Amino acid sequence: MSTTSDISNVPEIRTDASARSRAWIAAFRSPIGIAGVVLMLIIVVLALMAVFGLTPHDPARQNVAESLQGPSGSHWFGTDQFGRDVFARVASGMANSLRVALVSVAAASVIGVLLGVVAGYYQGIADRAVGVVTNVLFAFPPLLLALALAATLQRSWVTVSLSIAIVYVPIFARVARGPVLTLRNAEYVLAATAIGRSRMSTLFRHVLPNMRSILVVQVTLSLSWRS
Amino acid sequence: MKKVDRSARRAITASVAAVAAAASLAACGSSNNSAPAGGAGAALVVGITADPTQMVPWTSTSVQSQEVLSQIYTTLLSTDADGTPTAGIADMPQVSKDGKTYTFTLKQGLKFADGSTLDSADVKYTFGKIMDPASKASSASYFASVASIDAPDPQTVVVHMKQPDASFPAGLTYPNTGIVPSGATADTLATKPDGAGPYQFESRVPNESITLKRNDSYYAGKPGAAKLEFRIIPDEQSIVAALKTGSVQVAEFDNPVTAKTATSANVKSTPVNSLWYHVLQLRATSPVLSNVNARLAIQCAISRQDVVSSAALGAGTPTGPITSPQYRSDPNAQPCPNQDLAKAKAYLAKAGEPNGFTLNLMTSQGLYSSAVDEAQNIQAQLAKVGIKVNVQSLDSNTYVQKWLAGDFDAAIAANSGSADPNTMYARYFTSTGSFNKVAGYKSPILDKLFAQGIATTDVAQRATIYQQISAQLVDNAAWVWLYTPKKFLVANTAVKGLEARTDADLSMLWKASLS
Amino acid sequence: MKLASAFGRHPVTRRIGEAIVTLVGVSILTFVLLRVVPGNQVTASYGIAAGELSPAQVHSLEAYYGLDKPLVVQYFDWLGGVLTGHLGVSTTSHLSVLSMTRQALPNTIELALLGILVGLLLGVPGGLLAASRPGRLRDSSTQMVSLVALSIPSFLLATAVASWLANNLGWYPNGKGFRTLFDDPGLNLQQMLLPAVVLGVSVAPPVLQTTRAAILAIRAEDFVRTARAKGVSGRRLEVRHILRNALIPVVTMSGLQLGFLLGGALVVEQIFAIPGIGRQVLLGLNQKEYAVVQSTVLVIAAMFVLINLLTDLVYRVVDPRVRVR
Repeated sequence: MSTTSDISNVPEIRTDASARSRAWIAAFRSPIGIAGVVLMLIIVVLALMAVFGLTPHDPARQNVAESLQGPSGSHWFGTDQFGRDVFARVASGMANSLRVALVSVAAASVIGVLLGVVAGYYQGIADRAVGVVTNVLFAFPPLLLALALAATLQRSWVTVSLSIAIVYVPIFARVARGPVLTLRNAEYVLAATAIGRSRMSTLFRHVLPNMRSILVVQVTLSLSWRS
Repeated sequence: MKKVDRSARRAITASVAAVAAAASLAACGSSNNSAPAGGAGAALVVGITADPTQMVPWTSTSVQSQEVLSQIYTTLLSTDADGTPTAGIADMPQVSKDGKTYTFTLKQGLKFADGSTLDSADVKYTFGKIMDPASKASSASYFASVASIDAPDPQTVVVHMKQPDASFPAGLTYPNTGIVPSGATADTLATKPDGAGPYQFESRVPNESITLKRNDSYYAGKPGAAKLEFRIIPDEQSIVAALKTGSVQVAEFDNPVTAKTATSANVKSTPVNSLWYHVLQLRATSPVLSNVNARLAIQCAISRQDVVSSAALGAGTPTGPITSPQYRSDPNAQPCPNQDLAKAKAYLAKAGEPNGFTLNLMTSQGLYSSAVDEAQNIQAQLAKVGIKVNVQSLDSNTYVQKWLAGDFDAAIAANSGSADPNTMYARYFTSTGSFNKVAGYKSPILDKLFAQGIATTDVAQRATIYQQISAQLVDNAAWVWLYTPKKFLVANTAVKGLEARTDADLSMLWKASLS
Repeated sequence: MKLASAFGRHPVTRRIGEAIVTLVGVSILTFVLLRVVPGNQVTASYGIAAGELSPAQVHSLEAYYGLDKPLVVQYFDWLGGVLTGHLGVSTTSHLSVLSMTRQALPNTIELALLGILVGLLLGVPGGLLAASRPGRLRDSSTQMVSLVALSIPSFLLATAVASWLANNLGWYPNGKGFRTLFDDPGLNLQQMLLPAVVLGVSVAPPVLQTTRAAILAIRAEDFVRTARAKGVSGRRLEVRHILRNALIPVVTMSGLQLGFLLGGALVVEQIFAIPGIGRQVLLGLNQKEYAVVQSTVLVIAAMFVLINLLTDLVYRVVDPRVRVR
């Protein structure tokens, strides 16, 4: 059983399991899907290698005598001007980037979706207030924000994550708000209210789960942009 | 469906073709020159990465401002290719026996851009302006020992000193002591520069270019190019591309790799020496560095050559404190001229820290290109004796503020040198020096030596004194001096007569011309 | 009260009201951020030499830069000036921010428009191509290319392309002094070519994806089936019915991208030495020119808000379904 809607950005809502497993199989059949999974695995493996110290060389170990070598048996990607192993540095760089991406997108999505859903569901003043905050953050040049934060706080991955998160909150808020506007009028939502469910609980139990696919798309897009 | 493919493909082909056509038209249209257009009215173009915002000589601090101002204004004294003071618009001064009176004789026929004559009254006015606290002049410290100035006749300037100061002439070679007409104020000079230099101000587009035109009545000769343009191109690789295609003829780089990429059949790169020094500044007044043995341990744990090979990509030489050509420190005259880990550990034990200690090191990407690299290399080297370095990479404004407040334990820095060691270090290492709080080290011996150093003008005597000062500084590891860099003057082969001077100094640029 | 709520009801005036509130918010945020960052104009212009100034000299400099008044006064001084058309003065170049912006803004607008143009020229046909045979090789390879284009950092692409062209073809028009479109159209377009292509390459992938998704979605719609049943086919169907409707989300997406690009494609402006708004903000930041940064950021935000407003209004005119709100 599925419900269609007249605005194209709301997904079809499937509830039968066989449809879901069909979707998995279809995903693995598409060449792009496979390529994507493989690439992602490579990245994650590299990052994990760095995190658990499994790289062939220590990425921070300097040895000027070995500087600027080309790729070789012991240094797969060669060495930099300080004699550090480039492969290890790529791996640890990957780990850093992934960490920043995961943390910033997690923070942005949680806060942003919450704001967007609240705005769309409760409307009124909440909607206006979230709208103003979203617009201000959108209109503000992100570079300036990043520079200001970098200057004020110490340069660390936390600062980077924070600046990215702040820039992405309005995007998630806007993406989350759209479907809520339609879904709040869906029959099952009205039914839930009719039987006496509180608005908050309807929000979490009925509306949010049906927005999953849109949110997933947005989250993965943001992760790839930011890593 | 088939029709869609065709129209889609047609659309893509059309757009690619349009872009390609535009590109080829453009490429054909522009005269494909790696040799710049010569001829009488041709402009010599110098590529710089930042806008020279300060156009008033006595307020200028940035390297780019001083490059431009050195073309527009003249200074009392000039420098030879090594950076040692020689005659400029005045001959080398006559110094009285007691060293307290300097007499300068100005050359004849000096003229400002507005046509008026440059005489001693203008010199007296300019120096008065510099010494006036209300001007907030960056060159005020060069006149710290000056009591008063007389202009008895139009060609003579007499400077009376409070005490003998042999470093005084060296200060008069800097572009921020450029001579301005009497009565000129900072406001008038900011928009209408008026100097007696080889080129005169013609026009300016902020953040894009400054154009100067030849001063036909320049006292030292006829400047080679009819026009001189300083073009602002923020990205160094773009300057390389501009050099290769001939739109820019002269540029200066610190990075040897960039200089190498610019080299081609028409573009040559000349390495030059520099008076700058790169240093690991320590503050002996910080608790963690108060024991001289801790500081000596740091000196011994560092291989200066390694820092050069890695952070500076080989473009430099290890140095001692003094880089002035006449008084240069022997780079090997220090407790540990090379890395000596055993000695370092011995010093640590003497300091009561056999297992090392933690050191906060501040640096900033905005200072100069290799600042963070040097910090990281030093961190790796000091780790070998157990000294754990925390590299704090700050925003440049934060760095400057903390530096000025002396709010750091150790800092990576690169400072400009001078022909005179007193100008280089008196303000850091004398107890009354304006930057002593920053330097964090002083001693009665140093105070005495610095005073002796400027009390005589005899070069041999001064050399001995500054050798002793240098020894004091490295034996107590006040700072750890790293290296003096090589700079690279890159120019199109069509430019003739360009002198490759220390620090790629452009003060003799007027001798260059386009063939 | 009645008037205010009447205003509040009509969607257009409400949008305009929101726009104004947004701009005020941006101005406050910029103001606060600038003051929170360490350093001020004195340290920025003097650098280390500021240490040689006496406290009295520092005070008089701060008074000259207007830094000694309380923050609220500074804010309203500046805001009042903006509303009367005085955006402030740059103390380093002695130019008014208004004239600086008037020179820099057209260059950024030109660059942004050219960038969007290139992005559309690459993205729309690409989306058409991908949608023509969805799921097949044509589709996957186009999307792969689009992904690669999205992944390349713009500074890397810019530097690589510029260096290659300079080395191998001896062509680099951006090394000559910048000329505006009116001064020297030929040289200007040459100088805009590379930066527009770099920008276009980053704009094209979202445009491609949007076009493709829109076409696929619309092709499945009822009205297309109806049209086909009526006998409309081929080019007429694709263009008049499908493409026309598919372009709506593309237009919104382009409007959004244009807004971002107008914020000053800073990297591209730096590398190709184009004197635009982005560079103006960056230089103002480095020199701690508060007036320059505040006023320029406000101008950028105003343009962004204006474009969004216009896009919204166009969208409402073009797509009647949206008018419900």
